[in-house]
Amino acid sequence: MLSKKELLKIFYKLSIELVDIKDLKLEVSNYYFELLLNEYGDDFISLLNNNYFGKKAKSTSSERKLNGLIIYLWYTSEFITRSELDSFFDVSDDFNKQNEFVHSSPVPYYNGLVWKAIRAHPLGLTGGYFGYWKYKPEN
Amino acid sequence: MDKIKNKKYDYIIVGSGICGSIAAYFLAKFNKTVLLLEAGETRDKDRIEMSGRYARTSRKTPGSPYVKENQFADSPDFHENIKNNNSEKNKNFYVFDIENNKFKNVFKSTYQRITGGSTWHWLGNVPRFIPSDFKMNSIYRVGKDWPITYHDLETYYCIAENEIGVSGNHEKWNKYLGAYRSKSFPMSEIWECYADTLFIKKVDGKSINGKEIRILPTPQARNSENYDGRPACAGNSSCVPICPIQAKYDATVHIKKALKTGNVDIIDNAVVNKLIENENKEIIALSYLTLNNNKVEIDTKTAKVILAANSIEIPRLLLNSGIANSSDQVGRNLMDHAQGYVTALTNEKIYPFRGPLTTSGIDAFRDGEQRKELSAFRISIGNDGWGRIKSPNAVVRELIIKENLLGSKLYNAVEEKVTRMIRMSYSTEVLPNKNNRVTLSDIKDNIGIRKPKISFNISKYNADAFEVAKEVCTKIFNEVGVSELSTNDNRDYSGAGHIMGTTCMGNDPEKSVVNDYGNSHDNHNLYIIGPSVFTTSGTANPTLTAVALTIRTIDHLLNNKITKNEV
Repeated sequence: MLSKKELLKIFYKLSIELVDIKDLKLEVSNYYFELLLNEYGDDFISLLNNNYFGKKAKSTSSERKLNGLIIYLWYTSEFITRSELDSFFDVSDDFNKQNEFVHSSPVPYYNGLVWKAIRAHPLGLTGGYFGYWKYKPEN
Repeated sequence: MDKIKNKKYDYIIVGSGICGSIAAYFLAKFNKTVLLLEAGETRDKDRIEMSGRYARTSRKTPGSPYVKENQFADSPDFHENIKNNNSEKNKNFYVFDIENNKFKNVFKSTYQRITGGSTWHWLGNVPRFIPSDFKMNSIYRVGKDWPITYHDLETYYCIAENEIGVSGNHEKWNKYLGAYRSKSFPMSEIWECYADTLFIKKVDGKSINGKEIRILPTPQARNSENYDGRPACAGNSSCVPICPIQAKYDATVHIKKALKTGNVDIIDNAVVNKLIENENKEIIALSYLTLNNNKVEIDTKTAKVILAANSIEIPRLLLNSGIANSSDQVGRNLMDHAQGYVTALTNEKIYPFRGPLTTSGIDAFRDGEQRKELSAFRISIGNDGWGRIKSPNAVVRELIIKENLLGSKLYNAVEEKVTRMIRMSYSTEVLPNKNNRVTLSDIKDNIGIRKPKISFNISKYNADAFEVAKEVCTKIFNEVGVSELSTNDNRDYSGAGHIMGTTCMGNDPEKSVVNDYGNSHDNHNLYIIGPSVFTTSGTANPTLTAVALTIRTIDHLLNNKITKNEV
């Protein structure tokens, strides 16, 4: 049985694989680990175990869903609970629902990958100066 | 509290939003004593915490930073979020009269009950009304004429722009659509966003549907330089729901100034539920509920009472009190700007979500002969992707579950799509209609006050304008160069948060609630300020006009000391 410390490492490594970004914040990874462990329990542990023991090829539908949630979490910081799981994966949805989840810290939101991808900043945390918006973003 | 309760004030103001706080400030500046009663809580020291809550919550609505356990006075925006009391009483802030409603969205505009009011989460766009907005019936034979003209208000527009700090371009706006300006804006314009530069290059000066298109920098209550002790906008892009650095004006600015005079006392968590009049129609007392539902009564015999709540709460209070309604007009003529949108993907990347949520607009369609048949409209160019239609998060989700993307493919796809998302929104004028109204529901809220019941329909006048506005936006987008054009179903219009009317001004006491100074036709010591006194709604965001009218009312009460002081 893997220790929690080992599971944390596996989760961090899995996250990097799923989003293909190497400099994910460890503090956020550890926080997401706890959230997922509390909400998804054995399913989450099983995902990490299978990942560690190289059983990815046989991943179940539930594991694929968890992978999707983990990617979405890293991009947006929106945490999807078990009760919201089916509607989250409903392709007929308008994709614009917002859930009621409130994090204990703003750090996950500020580290959402979506902002980096769209060359913007987290709304509410600019780091910019008056008028920067008139120009194309720098590299 | 007892000291305040027993003190005699010259003025008692109900509501500490932008109009209430600016009224309190000017009255106090000229040595009048003022008691300001606010239903919400004073939280101006919580700006960082509230900005943090916005970041922490998934639900990013206008009210999301302000959600708090054990809130006393509920607000329509977050009523569903309140977890501490999930009873039926707390469900649905508004009660809708949906039996006769043809549309999906009955009335979606909301407000915030907090010291400083809805300016905490307003966008901050402050164009003026134009002269024809005040004469709709004389010129276009629809709606009503105001008892005042643009000229009557022009001086007060200038004072209002100075007080709240407006950034704008005088040369571009002076005399546009007939609206002359006797003074420059106190600050130069907010720079346009990168997408606007594309619109300027491709569309500015072209003729569409017989109008010359000008991409104009929207006047904004947002600093383009340090002003009044507040910093220049740094482009946090969270204007709605909260500016973390107060570069955007909010009414706490004037509350602080008012309190500094020493002539103002403020009581928060005080929900005024009743006005009491004597046989001479004088308001002799008012009562309010406090935390723990204690009821406090205040003697107003020697005071003037000014209602500065909003177009829902003012009629709610008056109807609950049976006051000021000999005309049967209280609650009627509820107005908003009915909005729709056109979205697209630009051919080149325009990098939204950097800077204010909108910086430019197209105002050419705000006036013209078409107003006889269909509503005028104002177009704003978004700097927030597809705005409420589809968030960046929704794009990520769609790409994960529909396209099964992950890794660098997902990253690139998110960049490719979101950096080209653009919207144009159009706001149409809802004409005054006696059947669009606020009445009292039999259902009571969590503190025992009857809930507002809303009846609201938009007419063919708006629906026809939606079609033209969509056509115009589509033509503009085609000039810009886009793909994936999309628009809303007309039945699914949205509100603009521009809640107006319900205690309209007019010269005829049988057809209006207040006169042009906001003085009740029925009660000589009762005044109403704010957008609830508007006769018609125009197409401009209403706040600047509401402030200009407020300053005009207070100037009248102070025997023109404000305008004399200006000179």
